[in-house]
Amino acid sequence: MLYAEPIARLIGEFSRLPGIGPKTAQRLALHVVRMPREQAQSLAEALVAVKDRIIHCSICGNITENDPCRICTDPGRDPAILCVVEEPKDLVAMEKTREFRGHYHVLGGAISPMEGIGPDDLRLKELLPRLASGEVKEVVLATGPDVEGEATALYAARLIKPLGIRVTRIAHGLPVGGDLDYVDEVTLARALEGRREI
Amino acid sequence: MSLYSAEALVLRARPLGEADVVVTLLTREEGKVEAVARGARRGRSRLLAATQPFTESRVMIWRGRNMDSLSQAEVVHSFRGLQQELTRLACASYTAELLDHFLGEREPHPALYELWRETLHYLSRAEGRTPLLKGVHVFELRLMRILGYEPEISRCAACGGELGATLRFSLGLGGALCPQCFSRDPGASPVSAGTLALLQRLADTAWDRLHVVELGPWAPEVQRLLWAFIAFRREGTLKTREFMELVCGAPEEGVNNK
Repeated sequence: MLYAEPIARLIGEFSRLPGIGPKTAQRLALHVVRMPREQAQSLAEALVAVKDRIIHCSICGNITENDPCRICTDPGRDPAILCVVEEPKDLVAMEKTREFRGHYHVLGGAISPMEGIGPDDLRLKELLPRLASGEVKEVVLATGPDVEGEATALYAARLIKPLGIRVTRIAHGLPVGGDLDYVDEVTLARALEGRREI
Repeated sequence: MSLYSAEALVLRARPLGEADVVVTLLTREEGKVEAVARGARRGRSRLLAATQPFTESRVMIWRGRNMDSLSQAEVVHSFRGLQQELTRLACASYTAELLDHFLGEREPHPALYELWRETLHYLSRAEGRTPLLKGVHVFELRLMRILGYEPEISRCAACGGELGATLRFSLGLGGALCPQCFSRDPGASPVSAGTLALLQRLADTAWDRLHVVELGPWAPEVQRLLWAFIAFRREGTLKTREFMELVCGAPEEGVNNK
């Protein structure tokens, strides 16, 4: 072994993280060696705190410290509109827009028949009881604009529509500040399809 | 390293790292090829649309030592109809997995490329579960034919003689058996003449004439037989089949299979 056991172990742990190869893991581990003790302590505590204190909201499925989460208990939000997203990071992206003031439902992934991820592997079964009270008037399907996201949106729409609730899908379109010339044909065709009057 | 161009259909795409995608392509020129599409998950990437499953593109690929990488891609056909209906999407996913399942890397099969392209064209426009199911069975039969596994359904698979009125189907011998040859495979299961006739029609009818073929009461048996045949030829479970059954429903018996 070229490195002392604690360093080798740290390199091993780092290289298990997504996107971290052996070289990067080694660089990070050696950086930790040079770190002040307090900083390393703080990093270790932060890691453990995430595992100890973060749970899934029993209502929307978002990651949270308190159950129900901040969004589900916020009286200022509109309970009549529910936005369905794949992952907590998508919820954060929606929140950054500051345009959406309704509630969320996090599925925890998307249907991917090729990978063997079916509807039962997602939090779709938790969605229907939330709609049963009649309080929700519109469900916005904000799953990704890829094949898995479309499959998930179509499946969710199939479940929700019989309940008589309005189901909408977020628009597909052009990136702000982009150049039409550089946009692919499929996106442009969809943007054209979703055009609106100004 | 060298650069080559190809016509490609995307069999599958899986994320790699932060923003990359590994695409499995069915190319006309090189057969099944895996390539990395760098940055293809970033919103503005030119490769984004071209790396979506089922998309047909003209691509430029760098031949790498370990893995190829996608350099340029231009969408030729996106088969958008597939993404408008869950049933179409489920059937197309099944055909993709079947191809991926049966094909080794870099075995060029221009006929298979053409078959899948036609299948996607058909599926992206098909309305209702029966036309979709017909398309899937046509694909299955022609895939078997191109790969040399075509079931013998017009004569006895064992002796080559005429088939009688009482029939059995042998997975091991690869086709129908006449009564004299039943003993050659005791495991052969009974099959109706109508099912064999339907298989023959599905195998031979052009895509644009498929609407005249009626599945009729033989649909469930055709499906069971084809699936057993495919499973016998290549082991392993097909994950997409379960999803296809879930969204398309189990085969209906009787008259509603027009």
